[in-house]
Amino acid sequence: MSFRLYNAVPRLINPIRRTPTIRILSFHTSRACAFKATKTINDGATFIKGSVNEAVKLPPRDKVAGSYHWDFERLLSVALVPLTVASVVNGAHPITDLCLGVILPIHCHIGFDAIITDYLPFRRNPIVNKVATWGLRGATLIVLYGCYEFNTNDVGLTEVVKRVWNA
Amino acid sequence: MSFLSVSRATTRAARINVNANTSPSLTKEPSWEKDPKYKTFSIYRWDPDKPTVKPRLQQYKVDLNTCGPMVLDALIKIKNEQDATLTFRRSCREGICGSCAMNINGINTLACICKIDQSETKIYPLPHMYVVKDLVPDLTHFYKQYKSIEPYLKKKNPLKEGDRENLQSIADRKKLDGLYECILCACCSTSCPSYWWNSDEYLGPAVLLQAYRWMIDSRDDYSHERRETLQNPFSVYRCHTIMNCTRTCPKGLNPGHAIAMIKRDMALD
Repeated sequence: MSFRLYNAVPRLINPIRRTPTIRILSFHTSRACAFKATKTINDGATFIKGSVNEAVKLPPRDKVAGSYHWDFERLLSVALVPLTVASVVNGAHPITDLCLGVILPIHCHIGFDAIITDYLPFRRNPIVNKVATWGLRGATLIVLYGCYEFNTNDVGLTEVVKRVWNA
Repeated sequence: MSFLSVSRATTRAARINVNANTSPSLTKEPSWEKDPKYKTFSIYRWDPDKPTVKPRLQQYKVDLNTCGPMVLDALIKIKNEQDATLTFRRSCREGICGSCAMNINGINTLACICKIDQSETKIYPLPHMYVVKDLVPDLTHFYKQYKSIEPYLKKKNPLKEGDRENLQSIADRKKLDGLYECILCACCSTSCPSYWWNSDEYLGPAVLLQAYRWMIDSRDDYSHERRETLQNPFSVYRCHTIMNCTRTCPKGLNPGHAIAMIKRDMALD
């Protein structure tokens, strides 16, 4: 488990992994990658699956995770520009506050989700990936609910930024 | 101006004459012989036959006055004169084959078109690739990915005998400029952090540039299907426009732009 975690740390050229040598040094945490040499399947250590002349198998087609996801991400980012400008120019307004309270958490969610996909991919760290993904989903839901509560029962997002800014 | 050039020509002729006069004697060294100008190259070494020996940087001193201008010249000189075990790929020595791609002073480039500068030079294999030996990286996975995008012309109605060849307008041909020059040296892919983390699923800039080259070819009928195969979170969308690819490309191409065009076309599909 801890070795799997370690695998998320980016490395440059690492021929150690090709050479199984267990020494005292290997037990030092900074050299935990030496253990990877003993595993060859699904740990990212061997990319080459199938014969040399076979083409790589692309992941299954999924338009929702592909271009629709990307379009949605850009749409949210673009929508944030006029919303931010309106809030800065016009001050607090229930509608802009409500939109910001929904779009900002989702925008952040997609950003953090990309980080998890990049650095803790499922094929390399199945457990860590699951924990991180569901943790993020829970956090986003709580933040969404918090923003809603804050906008309805308190001063609202724009007003609080204004107060912090002027404090 | 013409007078100037004439005078320059005459002085050169005079110099050649002087050399012609002195050369038959052969007793003393010619006057243009310079003092040796040494420069140290630090080169990554790893031998698969001794897998327990850690990779190391080995230093080689090279006299720049007896060496060609490019890093590849120095490497060949080292291999010829100092250490025959130094291993690297090279072929065309003019930046058209892409064999000698390596990391020179922190930048992925072709050794054959990278000039030797005066400061210390460190040479590593392409980053984050498995090393076969010394400066030779294992590109098997890279080529397998290239194969997966079907880099050849595909027609829905195959040509019959007696048909004309696939013609293309000048404007359509112009779209391929900046794409067809790619030599698949893998400099861009191996400079991309996204490719380092997820190279088993993300195709990388070089392969995506080639994918785009076939998507916009007016003679190819499978443009839409080619884009459909990339509809997943990994093949294209691991590109976060870091743009290391464009920065490092030894051929001056722009893979980042090609990926952006793929994303645009996929968004509009």
